[in-house]
Amino acid sequence: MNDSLTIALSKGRILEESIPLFAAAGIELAEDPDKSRKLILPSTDPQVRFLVIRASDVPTYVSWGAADLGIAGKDVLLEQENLALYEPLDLRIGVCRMSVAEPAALAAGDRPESWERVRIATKYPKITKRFFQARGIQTEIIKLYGSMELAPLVGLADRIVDLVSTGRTLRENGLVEVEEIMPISSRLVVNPAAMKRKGKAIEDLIRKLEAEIGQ
Amino acid sequence: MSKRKDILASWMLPAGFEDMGPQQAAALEGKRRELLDLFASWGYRQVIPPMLEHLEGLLTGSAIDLDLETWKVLDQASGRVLGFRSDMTPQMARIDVQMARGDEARRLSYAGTVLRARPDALGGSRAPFQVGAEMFGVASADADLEILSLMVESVQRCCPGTELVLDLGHVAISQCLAEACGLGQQDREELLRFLERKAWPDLRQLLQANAVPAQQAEAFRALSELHGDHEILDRARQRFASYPVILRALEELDFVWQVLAQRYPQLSIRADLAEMQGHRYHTGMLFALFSPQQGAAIARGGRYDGVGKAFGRYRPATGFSLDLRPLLRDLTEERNSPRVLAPGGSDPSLWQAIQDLRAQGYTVVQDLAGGAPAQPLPAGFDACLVVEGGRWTLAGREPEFPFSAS
Repeated sequence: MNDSLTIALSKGRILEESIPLFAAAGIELAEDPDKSRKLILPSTDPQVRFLVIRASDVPTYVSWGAADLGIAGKDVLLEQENLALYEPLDLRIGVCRMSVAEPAALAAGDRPESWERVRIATKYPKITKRFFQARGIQTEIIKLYGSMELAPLVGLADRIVDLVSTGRTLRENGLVEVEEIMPISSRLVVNPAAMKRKGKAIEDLIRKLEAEIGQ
Repeated sequence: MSKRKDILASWMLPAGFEDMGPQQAAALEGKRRELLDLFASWGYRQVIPPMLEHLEGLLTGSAIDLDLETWKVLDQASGRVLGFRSDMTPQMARIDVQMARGDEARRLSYAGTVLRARPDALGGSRAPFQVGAEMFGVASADADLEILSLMVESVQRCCPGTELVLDLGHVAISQCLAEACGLGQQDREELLRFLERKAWPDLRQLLQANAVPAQQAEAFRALSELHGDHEILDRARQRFASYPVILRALEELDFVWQVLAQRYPQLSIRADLAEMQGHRYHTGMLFALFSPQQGAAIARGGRYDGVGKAFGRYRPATGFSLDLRPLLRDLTEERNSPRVLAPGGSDPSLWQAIQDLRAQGYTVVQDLAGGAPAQPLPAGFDACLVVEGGRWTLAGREPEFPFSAS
């Protein structure tokens, strides 16, 4: 039975941080992803190839079976929760947190316990809605695709929900983090049918990655 | 221009719906008949339930998972909410209870379109063509074995020559371990959701947060590794020797595994003891067939005892179903009768000749456009009907019976 593996990754931080993990598992990229413009990258293992795609497309490729495995942030997975995927491993890369932030001036006299209705700009409407709903807070959500920090500065929203890693972008735009929604890291995701058909190859890879993370 | 746009707009079908052209329709219909005939030869009698019924009937009991998938309309006659079936299995459970008089075994089969209210995020059909077979009234693994065998044979007919992988599971295993954690209702459901996604990191965190004893957490760790070849059943027996429920489940799996391996030597069989798909509905063995060409299971099924309780009677039940639509890519139209082109006209002797040929199994098409007999024979035809010495006879590529189309 065919045991070749196709792994979907996203360019940027996840790709950079996962290269050493795969290298430890004996799989190295055969081409420099920074120089290559190929979307399918071969590896030193003839049975393994990588797809380099947008982060939010990784669950789609894996769920459809176009890739057997992928690496996706928990943020992306929670935002697309209806897709059928296994997520067996926390790779502990791409570590950051999903938080609520607001302008420092508002934060000075603000008490999150007393929120009743909030106006939030975010790239993550589902995560945002679920978080506030669980607390019985009404939300108006303004879906944006980037630069959320701008929204409160120009009055588009009172607050934002976004990924925070060092907090520098927030600080430079006069925002402060007021609530952490959840910690975020990247997960290994697996297509369920691939897991059944190529169980051994996938299981081997999971074991090797797990051993590397554990160290 | 705007009129043309209007016409185009009225042609377009809603997201997730499509027409089937003659070739696809013939391929689908051919397989539908073949499968229903196969089911009939095993004693599974076809039933045809309505496209829609009262919502409660469709969602009763464990089928509540189907709520969001079910398209709802109001019945102007009664003021009640109706739902289009999104799965035919609950209808089978209802029909079985309505027919049941005692503990008799009942074998039912079905084929029809089901509707999905939500468009599939991956662009799949909202109108799958579901074909399946269900057995009611038999609680033993013998029933699962029969259903499993029928599932394998059905898929073998739909995808001949494909290397198939059968994945076996049993919901009682995970449920038993989850039960032993002593969690509250909400946390327990969360735990099962994590299991369904094999989200082991989240599961460990949940157990930790609820101060579940390390021994229990370790059991899940072991479970996460119990998938693969037949030897995992032995490993599982040793690991879970103190759980009688799990031992019973393993025994059932072992039984069907051994018989299937002997019946279908070409089939790769594996088990995944942590598999939980559809656990809110299923009560025992779970099974799914995979092929290298498809990113999802081709056919799946399992045991769902007691679904009929909501209709007034507890009945053991097991069954499987498959969606013919995704398989159509690999199906071809099976042409099993020679095609004859006959001239137009209402001459009684011509009519008689045509009817005779049709009765013999030929497909006969009259050339109603008229004119001289087409020479050479148009594509798609094997012969034409001509007059020779005052008698209607076939001329052309002399089709023979039994006819085999290349």
